[in-house]
Amino acid sequence: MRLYIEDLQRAIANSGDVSVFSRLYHRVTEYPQPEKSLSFYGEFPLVKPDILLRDRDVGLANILYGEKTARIHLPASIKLKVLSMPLSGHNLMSYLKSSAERYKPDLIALIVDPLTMAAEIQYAFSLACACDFSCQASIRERGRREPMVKLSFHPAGLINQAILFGWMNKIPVIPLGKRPAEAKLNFVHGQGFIDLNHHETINWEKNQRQAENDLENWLNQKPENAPEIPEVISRDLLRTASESQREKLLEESCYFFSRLMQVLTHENEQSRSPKVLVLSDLAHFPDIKYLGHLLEENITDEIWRNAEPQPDYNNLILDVKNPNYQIVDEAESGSACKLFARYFSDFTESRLNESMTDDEAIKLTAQITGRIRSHPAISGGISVRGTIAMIEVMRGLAVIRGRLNREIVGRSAQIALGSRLRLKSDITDSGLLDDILKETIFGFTFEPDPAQMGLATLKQLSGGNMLDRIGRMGQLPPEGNNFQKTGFNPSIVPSDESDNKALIQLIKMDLIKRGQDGKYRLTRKAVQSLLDELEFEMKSGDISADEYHSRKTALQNMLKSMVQPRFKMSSKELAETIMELVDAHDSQWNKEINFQSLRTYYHIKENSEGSKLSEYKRDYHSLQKLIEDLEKRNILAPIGPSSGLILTGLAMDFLLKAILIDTPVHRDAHSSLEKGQAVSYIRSIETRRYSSGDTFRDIAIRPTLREIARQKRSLKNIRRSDLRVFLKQRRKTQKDIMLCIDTSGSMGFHQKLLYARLAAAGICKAGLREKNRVGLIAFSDSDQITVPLTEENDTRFLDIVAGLQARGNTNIGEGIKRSRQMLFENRSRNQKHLVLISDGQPTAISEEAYSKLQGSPLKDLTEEYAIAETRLAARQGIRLSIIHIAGDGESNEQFVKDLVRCGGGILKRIKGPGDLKNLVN
Amino acid sequence: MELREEMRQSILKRLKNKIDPLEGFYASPEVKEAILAVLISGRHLLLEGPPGTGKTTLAKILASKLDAVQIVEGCRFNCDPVSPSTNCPDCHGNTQGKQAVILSGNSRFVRVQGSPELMPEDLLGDIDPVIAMQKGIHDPQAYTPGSIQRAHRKILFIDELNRIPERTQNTLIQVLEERTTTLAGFEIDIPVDTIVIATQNPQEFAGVDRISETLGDRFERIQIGYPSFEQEIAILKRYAREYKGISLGQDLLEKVVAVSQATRNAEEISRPASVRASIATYEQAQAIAQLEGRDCVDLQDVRKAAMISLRSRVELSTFSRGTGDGSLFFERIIDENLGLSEKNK
Repeated sequence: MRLYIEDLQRAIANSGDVSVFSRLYHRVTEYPQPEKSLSFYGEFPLVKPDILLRDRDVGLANILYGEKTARIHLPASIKLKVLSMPLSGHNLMSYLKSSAERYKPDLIALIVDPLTMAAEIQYAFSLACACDFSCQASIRERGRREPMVKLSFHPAGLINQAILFGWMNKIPVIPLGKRPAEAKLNFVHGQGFIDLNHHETINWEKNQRQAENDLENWLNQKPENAPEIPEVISRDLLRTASESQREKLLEESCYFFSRLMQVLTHENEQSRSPKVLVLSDLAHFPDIKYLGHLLEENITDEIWRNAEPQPDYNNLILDVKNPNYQIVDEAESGSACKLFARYFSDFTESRLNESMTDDEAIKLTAQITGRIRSHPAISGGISVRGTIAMIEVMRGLAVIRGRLNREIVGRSAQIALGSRLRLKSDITDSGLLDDILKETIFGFTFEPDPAQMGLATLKQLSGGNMLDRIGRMGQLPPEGNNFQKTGFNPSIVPSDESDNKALIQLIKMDLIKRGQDGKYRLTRKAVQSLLDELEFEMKSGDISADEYHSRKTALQNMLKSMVQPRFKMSSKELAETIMELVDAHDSQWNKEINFQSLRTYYHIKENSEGSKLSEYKRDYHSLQKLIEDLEKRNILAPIGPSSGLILTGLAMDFLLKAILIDTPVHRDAHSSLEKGQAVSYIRSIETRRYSSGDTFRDIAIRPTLREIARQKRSLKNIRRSDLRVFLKQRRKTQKDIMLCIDTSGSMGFHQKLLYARLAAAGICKAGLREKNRVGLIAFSDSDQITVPLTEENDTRFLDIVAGLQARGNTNIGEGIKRSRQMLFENRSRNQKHLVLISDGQPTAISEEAYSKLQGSPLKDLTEEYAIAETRLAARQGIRLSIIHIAGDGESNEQFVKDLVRCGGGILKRIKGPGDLKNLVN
Repeated sequence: MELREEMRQSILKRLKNKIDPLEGFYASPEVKEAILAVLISGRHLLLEGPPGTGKTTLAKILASKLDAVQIVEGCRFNCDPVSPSTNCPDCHGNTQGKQAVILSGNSRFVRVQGSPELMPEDLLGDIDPVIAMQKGIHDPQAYTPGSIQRAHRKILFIDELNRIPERTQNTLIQVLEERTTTLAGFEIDIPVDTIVIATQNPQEFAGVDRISETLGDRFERIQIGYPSFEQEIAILKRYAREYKGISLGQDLLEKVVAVSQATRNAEEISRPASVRASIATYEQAQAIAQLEGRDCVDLQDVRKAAMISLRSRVELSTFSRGTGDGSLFFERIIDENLGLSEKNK
């Protein structure tokens, strides 16, 4: 139950919010305290991370900005070293380290504005950084919604690394000015840093090469100690450059240096000149190396005139890249992470091993069991007995180890509670208990509040744009049609590529769903989230009360329309409708059911067959609604990418039930009991002699007494051999039943396939109920659907049975052959049954069989093949029964009878619904 | 003294003297510690693991560590002569004229083999029909105690608990929690002071029932897996028979274990070799050497022995079964681990 960084990452990723951990984080990072006295000067102390967390807003920025930088002492001279750095990269730290070793700076100056720096400090000490997550943040003033600055952070970012470097090496870090990279740091919002990392690396290489060249050129040109401003950047050039360019360049450069001077001229008690390591980014600040000269020429007079005694610029070192520095990629990669990980593991260790009293341990136990009972993924909590067991085991462990700490509590929970957890059926996570233990022991939560979670994830999506759009769509009056009521659930049509991406994500999150018309609609979850969102907006005062109410009503209506089915049908009506659907499905030989085909079907039914249809099946719109409704009831399910629908197993189940309820109860079974025949039944039961191991209650008193009487013995002298016990009925053995359904084209007529389906569904349900194993094979010459033998639930079966289609030719022989193979696929000694459901008209034969049987004298090879296969099956102990589905006199009776005779099974004939009822019963 | 207290004292005494209380049982320290914690806390133990992982051995070891106790002579319910139970049908709390018999630690162990045929009466006892007819049904003598009553002041070991039908499982519920049983029809409670150690095979194995939630709640379940390489070597050294005059070197011993261990990691295998398979290989290798008149086991002997013991025990998964009887596969896995595969090529 140790806590690892990965756990934190998981929790942050789950909740999308670092603050979940702030308490834990506070405890972890309190451990290493930066010393105040190390600060270069009082006003910029290194800020403790917990302060950062406390002032999550602009408080810290204010500290850094503050007017506290007032007192000024003038240093004699300043040594500067300007390093050009890439904006990010995991080897930055090693580069920094080597530079620092060589130069030994007293101060690290970052060309970044204090506000950004404040945010960067927050990030650098945040858990997200420690866990290697990049972040996007915005700084906003109190009471305003518009953010002042939007920022992106990356754990390997320059500023972040510099801050951590300074902190670890006890070198103060100060912000100097506007972040030079601002312009180019315009990271593609929404895409994060990962792609950019790549970009930045390229940039860095380019920058360095450029900087190197520049340096070399400069050194070559001016070897003497008299620096001269190169032509390119001379004052003249500045003048010739466009006005705005020049101003910007000047402004940036001057700001930077003025700021530097300002900071460095602050009180400094050291006698020697401070060394400053300036980290900048050359790509965005190419002229930094000329600043000294610019400043020398007093170009920036007005900006930094306050800094009276001028620093010694001659010592300004420009060392962009020294070839001696080896930049090793892996060296210090993610040192922030490493540092944190170290502290973190210390923390975990100490937390686990901290000794505790029995009372505290019991309290923790109660917390653990309480958490388990309230956990959403657990169906059965822990009984009180379990809690007691855990406490007893805990005490046992404590005796063994001679101490009591959290680790022992956790371990005893694993021992005692692990086997008692009952997870919900759809959850297979075996690490759940460990997670719960971690949560309780370390006091945080992996699973955020579900309500918040929904909001957070919704908001995260493309910055909430999609949500807005969906939300707005929710209020739009739908395009002109009959449903002008507000309850209409509008369809969402993606307009461009980015929308499409968002859509896929939304579908994954179960927020929208594809309807049968190919359009996307919101799910209930989404509407509920929208309602929550609305509530939130109302509370934060973004929308007026009127707007709130109108939108709320619209959403509520939408919700209502989703929950309630519009049609109220009796089960009989529904059963009829399903029958019709099946009929429509079969008679049109269509793969799917859709609105068009149904409409045609009902049209034909009404007009040419003269059936009376109910209102809603005649009307265009209500038929549409009916289909939607059936889909909602899970009787129809959408298939594939087309807009078609298919019947589900639920429909079959429903139909079966409807048929069974209709059937009058069989009276015969009861009559014998009523007439008192039960006694005679018992009288005729067989008994046997007592043998040891028979239980007392099995002893048949009457036969025993009769036996004793027959032997003319007294009760005192009876022996064991006089006792009689009931012969027990042997347990029913498991059977393997393979359903073999003929799905050839001929089955499509006269609702034969419907009966076949129902027969199959009935047998399957009954077979599974009696713990038999059932398999299924649906055959025609064109395709086969198979389900191997199983004893599990029947929903999958019914789904498949419902989706059967009639097509192709009948190859009974092949079907029997395949069934036989499947029956012997896994070895078991169960009795094997094969139930063939067919209309008994074989029309096809496989080529292989054809060649084998060619010499046969019989005319009809298809029948011969089927019979041969049946014989083969019978020889292997398979009993073949046939459910013959046929109208009167239309079929090949003799063949079916032959087949059954060979197979040694029974023959049932189904001519109409009545036969079906009997069969299913 | 109650059995759980006795057990606790015995374990603690050994721990104090730095003796492993589970000596002879090889498992990871965590598992051992968990078992001890459960036993010290006086709770019932349910060991879950594949066959051949030392579950029965563990129960026997535990029983053997108990001290010998006195029981009333002729009492079928193992009453303590000092304080016999007044409810006991045999002694009625009256020990006058009855001698005390010593019950050694090793025999304080009642074993029930779980099977689908096990009836509630086997555990709870039943009325002996003959005595009942002779002496009258209300005579306590007519009652034959079952395994549960006989386990009074003993360890009750139930092997393969989850093969017992649920109806029979339920008879355990009372004794596990209340430590008494009620004799059916007599309405007297007989104390049954016992610790139940049950084993069960994991759900994947054929022919197992599940344990009802109410029963499972009364046990602490501990998973025992296959032993590690080092542990298995130690097991072989301790439990496998060694033929006189036949030597089997340490390197070969390691190879015997390596073959078994390899079957436990192979994906193609649905039922890997148990420790018993290792023991069988080990013993058979020696037997083969002896048959051929050698006094030293060589690699080929181990190979032959491994073929014999693996082929009858190891079951291949459905996917890999397609290729014949799997002997090729066994050959490969044996040769690989014996270091023979290169030579053959």
